[in-house]
Amino acid sequence: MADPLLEVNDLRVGFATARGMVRAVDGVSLHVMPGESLGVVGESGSGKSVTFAAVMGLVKPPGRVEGGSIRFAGRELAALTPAQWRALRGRSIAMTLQDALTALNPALTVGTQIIEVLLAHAEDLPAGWRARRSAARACAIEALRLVGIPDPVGRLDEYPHQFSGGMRQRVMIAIALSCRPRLLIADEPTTALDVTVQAQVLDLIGDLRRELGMSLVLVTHDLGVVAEHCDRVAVMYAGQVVETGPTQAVIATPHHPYTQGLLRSIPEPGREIRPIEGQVPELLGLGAQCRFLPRCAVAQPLCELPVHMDVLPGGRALRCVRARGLA
Amino acid sequence: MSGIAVLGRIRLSYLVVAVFVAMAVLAPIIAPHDPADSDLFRRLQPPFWMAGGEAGFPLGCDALGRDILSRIIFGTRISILVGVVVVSAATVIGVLAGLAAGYLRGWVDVVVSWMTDVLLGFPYLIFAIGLMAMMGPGLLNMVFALAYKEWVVPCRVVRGETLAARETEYVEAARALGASRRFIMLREVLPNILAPVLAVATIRVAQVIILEASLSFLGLGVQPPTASWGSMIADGRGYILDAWWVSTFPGVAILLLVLAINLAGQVRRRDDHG
Repeated sequence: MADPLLEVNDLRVGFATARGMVRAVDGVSLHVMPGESLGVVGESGSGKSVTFAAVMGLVKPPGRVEGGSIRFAGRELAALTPAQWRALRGRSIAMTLQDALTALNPALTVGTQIIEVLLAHAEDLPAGWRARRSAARACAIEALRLVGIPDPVGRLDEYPHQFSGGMRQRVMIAIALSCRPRLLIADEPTTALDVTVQAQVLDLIGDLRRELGMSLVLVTHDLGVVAEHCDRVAVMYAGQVVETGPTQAVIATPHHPYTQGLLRSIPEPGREIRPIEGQVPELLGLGAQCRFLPRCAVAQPLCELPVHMDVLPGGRALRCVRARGLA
Repeated sequence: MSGIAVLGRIRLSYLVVAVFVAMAVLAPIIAPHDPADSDLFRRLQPPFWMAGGEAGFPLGCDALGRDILSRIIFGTRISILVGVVVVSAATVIGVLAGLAAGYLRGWVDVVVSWMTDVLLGFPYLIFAIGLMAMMGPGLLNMVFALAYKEWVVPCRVVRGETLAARETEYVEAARALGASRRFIMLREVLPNILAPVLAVATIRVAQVIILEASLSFLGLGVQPPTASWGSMIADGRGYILDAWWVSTFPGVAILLLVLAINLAGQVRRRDDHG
């Protein structure tokens, strides 16, 4: 088996609060192979966004990466200097943020925003200021065309407010992809968009991934989106990965009660939606016990014991005491 | 207020400012006399509509028989020059300091905020007088004395706006794309906070013009025989009961220019906010 492009091992991120350390990410391990797409699913507060903020080196105080390792293409990221981080971000790993409507700078034209990323990162631009700029401009037009924006030449000099929500998300993706990164982290790329536009944007990301041969991490709370667009899935709950495996297998036979609950809460014609009762626990002073226990419908006395990730056949893994019966 | 009235006020205030700027630029061409040319036969000659006045000296003459209109026209140069130079310099310094303090935070913010707080604690005029007393009077020293404290104003505005802007998604997105701190401050944050900075700068030009007049009134500004509105008012102080025109007309000039700049600035601000 080839080496993974991104490998996160036992990552822990804490936020210092007045009431103590909140572990937003507690021992997360996951990996992405070259060319593979990984879906990361979980409800709000499950730590999925913070995990990938850590991968980008963008955890803001009072948050702090407390431990674990993040390796990208065989290189440990924790040891990078700020300048090395900047060279990596945008160039090798690109990220699109949750809210495309506000993630573009309102005071700069769309073209300027793409061109500046290219000027900062692209290595194959010709020498000389004028030549560099015109080459970057041509690349920017190409990037807008790639994400399906009609009349890219004319729209290059327009401001973000002149674009619709879906078009702005496309611009975001164009910026992220302008330097042909090896990994794209799309953090909730479709939350701010309506359903038809959502599907277009996701299909676009999928097509571009195949075309450019890059890896994709799709962070979302929507298992349906993952089912359609991802090779593998990692389900997160309360700062931990609780189940992971090939998407088809996990959706066909979900093992973790939380994954089962998520699947049941997807609306389907002719079936009653059954939401998961209760709420995500507060991430303060949690032990090694199963964090889903208070909400679990199939809890048993054994669940009081410490639980850890058990590897199952078929590339799957599960954080549940019932895993022992399945292995 | 109705749209037409707003429009009228914009036009009028811009027009008044434009007239003063034209006066400053074209002073040697449009001034009827040399502002330093004294003629003791015309000592305290009244304006043209009063007995003893003449059309060649429409606003009368001062105690040395110098044409007041010509001196006002040349005085415009000093007022506008000091106002624009001081505010420009202060804006450049204040913007850089405010961006650094608001974006970098940490010790930079502590130092900058401490300096602004201390400088704001001094009454402006007393501070400028103190500095001028150390450096000596003169145009250049006056510019330094005013700019020394003036940068605090844009700095506070920029720091506050930057604090808000650094938390926005587009700054986060720029960081995720590998932008450096300098790039984010100058290319991402600055264009978004320019509107309030320009509004403040406009209003401050008017304020600095008043301060310049105050310092010149006290004899600390430009030195005779160069004409400045503040020193002209001071010149007429002794004759205010007999020859009111010596002090009054430069006072009216200050009033008109400062009022016009303030109105223009206010209207600008309202436009910016929709």
